[in-house]
Amino acid sequence: MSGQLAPLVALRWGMLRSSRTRWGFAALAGVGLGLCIGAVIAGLLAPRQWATDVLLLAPTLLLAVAAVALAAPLVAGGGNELFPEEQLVAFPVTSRTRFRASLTLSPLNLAWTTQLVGLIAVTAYLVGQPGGLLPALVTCAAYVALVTVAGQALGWLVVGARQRPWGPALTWAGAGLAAGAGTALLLTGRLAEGLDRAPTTWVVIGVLDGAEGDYAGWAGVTAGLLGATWLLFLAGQRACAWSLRQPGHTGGTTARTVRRRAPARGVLREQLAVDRASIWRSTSLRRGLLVLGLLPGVSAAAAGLSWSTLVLVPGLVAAGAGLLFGVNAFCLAGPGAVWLESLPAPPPVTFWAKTLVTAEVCVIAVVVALLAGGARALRPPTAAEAVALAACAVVTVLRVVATCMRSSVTRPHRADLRGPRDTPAPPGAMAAYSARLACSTTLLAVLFSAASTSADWNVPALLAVPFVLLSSRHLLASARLWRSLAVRSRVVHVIATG
Amino acid sequence: MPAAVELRDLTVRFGDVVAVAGFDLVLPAGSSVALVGRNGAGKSTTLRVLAGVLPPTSGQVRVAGVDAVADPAGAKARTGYCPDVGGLIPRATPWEHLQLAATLRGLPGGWQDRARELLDRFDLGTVADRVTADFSHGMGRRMSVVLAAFHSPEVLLLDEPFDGVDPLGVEATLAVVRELRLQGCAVLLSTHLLALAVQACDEAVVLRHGSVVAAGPAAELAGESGAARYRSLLS
Repeated sequence: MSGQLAPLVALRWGMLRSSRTRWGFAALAGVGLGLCIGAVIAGLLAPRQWATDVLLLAPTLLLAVAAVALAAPLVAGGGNELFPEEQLVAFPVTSRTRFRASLTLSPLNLAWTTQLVGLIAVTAYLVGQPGGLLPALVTCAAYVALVTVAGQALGWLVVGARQRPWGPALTWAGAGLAAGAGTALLLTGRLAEGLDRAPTTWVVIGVLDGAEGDYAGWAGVTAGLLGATWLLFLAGQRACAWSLRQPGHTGGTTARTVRRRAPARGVLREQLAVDRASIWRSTSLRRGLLVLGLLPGVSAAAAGLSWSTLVLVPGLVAAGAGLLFGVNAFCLAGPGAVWLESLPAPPPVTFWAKTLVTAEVCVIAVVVALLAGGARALRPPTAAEAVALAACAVVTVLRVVATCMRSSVTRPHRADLRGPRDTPAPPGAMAAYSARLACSTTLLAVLFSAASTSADWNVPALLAVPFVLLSSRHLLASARLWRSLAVRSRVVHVIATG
Repeated sequence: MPAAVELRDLTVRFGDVVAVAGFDLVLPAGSSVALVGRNGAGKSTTLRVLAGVLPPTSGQVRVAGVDAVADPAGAKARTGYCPDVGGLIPRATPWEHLQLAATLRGLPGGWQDRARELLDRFDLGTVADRVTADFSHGMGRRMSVVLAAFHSPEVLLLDEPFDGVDPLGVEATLAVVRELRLQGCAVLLSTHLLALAVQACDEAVVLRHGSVVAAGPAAELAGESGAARYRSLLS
């Protein structure tokens, strides 16, 4: 760790005041490590009957890992930060430290960790025996390092480019080009052919060389990966420095004038209008919503998922949408939270306005993802599949909203969500929230996916009832909690002043 | 006629810390009192309790005859509050703040004229539709005063309204305080700027460690001798 990074990490760790939070965080790290070990054991013990299929699909899996590693920092506006930029202005923190900090925080991204565990399992399965596993895992780790560093470097480069006058047009053109190329491959049926030629095939060959004791081939591939990682690390530091030198790098809403709207009818609608504006005027929320809606849907369409597999999508998308701001929903008011609380509106207005905008964001993201994901379905869904899909969407959105509102009321954080890298909570808390939301929604989705195979559509419909009731109960309990002035006072003061 | 503000034995604790310790205060309508004292003396905490955003640990709090603990919404309807920090929703415009306040306060039609007038007086008319995220500190303070005074409250609570504000903004704030007092509004103002406290208020209360150490005419704190006396009360 560099001279500046170590004290910053120590300070962030020290800011976890309660021992319960520290133990929780340590437990989360332990679970991650345990999953990696479990993945090795599962890979070694799994039946060998799919060995050929896994071998053929391995380059595509590696490519998917790269896609996630490249996309995640882009979505986060250049990677996560240990501290919001405004809190570091008085300290001479170098761009190099900022880049290394964002790299250090990569494992706190649930998608990154999940892909790593999957990759370890596949590597162990490809090797098939303990002998030769170590060099194969070294190659696997080198590949993960390469794509992670590449993602961070690209993220900072794009963030910097977007601050130039030509930047937004260039990045949109780049995104359009990538989307166009993907669509063309998909529509012409040449996607499989393209995937067969993926450069990640060399990584798989390196893994197999290591497993089989061909150390010359293994060393060549692994050294190549490590060398490229080092070069990208240096390039990433430069990209970060360049990005932070750009005049508008904070991505704020500089001197932005908006069109005046007519007053809404009723207090709830007026509050909703202000909250919606707060969402759409935030760079990080706007981009997150766009990516969340489109990326899973397009991926599902590209993979040509069946309806019963598509049932897994709403939960993940809703969980992601909740992470945009819902886990700390009152932060939408930012420093204005204290003034807002001094207005004579009934407390439920603020609570339900935040609940509704969180639900809206989840629903929009889920609907967009499902429309995109279902576009390439070969047949219309059966009644049970359609009901399971709808029920899963309702249940997971409700689950996410109930969880988000509970954490918003009980664990507020100060967050302005002004800059492109701003998140509603510190990195550790975000990792815990994402693990919690992803676990609960995935379990629900698996249940409904199983129910979608039923011949009777009543099965998924009835399955939804207890979950809807349970989430509604949790939501109402949080609303009751919000009625307490002591609770509201704590929330608004943390939100407004930290 | 009930007092505009009535605090009886107000106590606020944050865990082991006593922020306000048995504060008594009675403000008649149309009066103005400056709360002065060192950082952490309990000035902002007192104003937060009166604004209805912080529950008192014990004691009585009445605003324009309304018990602020039993009927917080009734008390909030009668007060206008400018918080000490922030006070603005980052991605909303000044006009949207006023629109939200007008709706939540249930103001009758025609509030727009008053809103425009105040924005112009505080030199914010040209930025009425600009998101406040990039306002300077002084602009934010001026806007917070506008929001506090907008509905012509019975009690005006201003917490550091002059902090970082230019002379024209200070003049506009003093003028609004004068006008509202003439309408019968009681003003409670917390500031570290003694000269402006003396200018804006008739009375002054000096707080230390949450308790009153001196109270009397604000004019007694004016000039060099007043400042020297004030300093002696702080330590």
